[in-house]
Amino acid sequence: MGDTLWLEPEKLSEVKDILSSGDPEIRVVSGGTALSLIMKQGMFDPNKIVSLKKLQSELRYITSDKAGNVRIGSMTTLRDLEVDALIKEKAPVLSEALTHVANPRIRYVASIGGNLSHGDAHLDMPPILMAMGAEVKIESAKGDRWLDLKEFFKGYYETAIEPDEILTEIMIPKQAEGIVGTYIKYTTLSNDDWPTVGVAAFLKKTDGIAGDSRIVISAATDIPTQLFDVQHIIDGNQLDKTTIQKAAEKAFEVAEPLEDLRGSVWYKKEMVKVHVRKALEQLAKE
Amino acid sequence: MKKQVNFILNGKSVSAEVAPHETLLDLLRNDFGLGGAKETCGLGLCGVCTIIVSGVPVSGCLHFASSIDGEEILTIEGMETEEGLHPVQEAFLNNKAFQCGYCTPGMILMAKKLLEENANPSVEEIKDYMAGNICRCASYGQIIEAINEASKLLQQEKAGLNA
Repeated sequence: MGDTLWLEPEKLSEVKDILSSGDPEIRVVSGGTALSLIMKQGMFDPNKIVSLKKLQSELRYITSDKAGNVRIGSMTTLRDLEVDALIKEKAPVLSEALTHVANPRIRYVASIGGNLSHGDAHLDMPPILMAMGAEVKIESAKGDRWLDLKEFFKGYYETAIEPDEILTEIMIPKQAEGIVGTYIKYTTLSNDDWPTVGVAAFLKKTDGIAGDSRIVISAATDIPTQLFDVQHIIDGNQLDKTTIQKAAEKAFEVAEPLEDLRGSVWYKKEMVKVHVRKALEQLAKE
Repeated sequence: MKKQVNFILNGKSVSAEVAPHETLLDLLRNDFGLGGAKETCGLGLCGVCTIIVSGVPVSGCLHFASSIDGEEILTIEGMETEEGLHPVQEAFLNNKAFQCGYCTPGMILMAKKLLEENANPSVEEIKDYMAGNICRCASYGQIIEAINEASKLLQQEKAGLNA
């Protein structure tokens, strides 16, 4: 401990140069709320910390492109997203969920790029962004690549980002006309604890028939998980009591939760069922 | 490896040598003797270590001290000016918005920022914004009343300046 070097590069290209050594003990930091906690607990001691503090003008923005997709710079804070008019218009489920993420102090500094790169399955943004079909831009000295968020989470605190790479942008595609969505989180411990189960549900209703559904569960599982089998039950059917019940039962069947202090495997499967049902009931009313 | 940081602390230019693991909270308490912000949960949940960094309240217990080069830091000790206590402080006193006072510095700094963003918040808005500041004496009712009063005091002050 104590040998860590703190770096504050002024350009993204400098960050990529530093990362190009491929040293897995280097960490990029924006708000720092997650990394400092891990360091305080003695779980990780990086060789170098690359602060993005001086890259705000390059990486902190929310815009929409010509196609109507929303583009978010990775250093955009959770608070920026929470109060932004464009996000309220194009991704209201995100704005609403953010009002219940941690507390304002954390939201003022924690960035969306850090939130995703941390790879923590308990966080609220990943399931919502995944259900909306978001993609992320990952850059390195070797070049850039885009990745669907579905391919991004690899395991418990593990993502597809290689040691020489950095996440720089999040793209939320324009949602089709008539898409409705919701996010429900359920907490078993204190109100400010991480959720036990998170459910993001988006679908399109045409004359009462549901289609294009995207159901993603988080927190209970090691990575945010899209429940394709549940979607198959929903798509093409009336979003009535029978469909919702069948979908919820299927969610129970296919969910593979991890047991921890927030609940046993069986309990979390039950809670996945209950909250998939609640989410769909809510969408049925909209 | 230690790093030198230069910053403004409660209106004065200062500098310090900080270690990479050091938090802003430890720096202010250990090197500058400022005891208003305290480490309590150590997880960013309780709000007792609230410190304002360049206008933004942060959890000092999770904030890297190395990151504050060039920033303006405000702690509870810097709230009082030559003209006296800050209106939010006045309002907390008037409403006896504490019992033991342990959480009060954090409450006051958060309330200050809330009223900068939202001059006249509703009770629901106060509750939402202050939800990450815990008072184990449960003086919440008085805290909400104090923030309401501070809102009026600040608006009067502003009207007075504009008159």
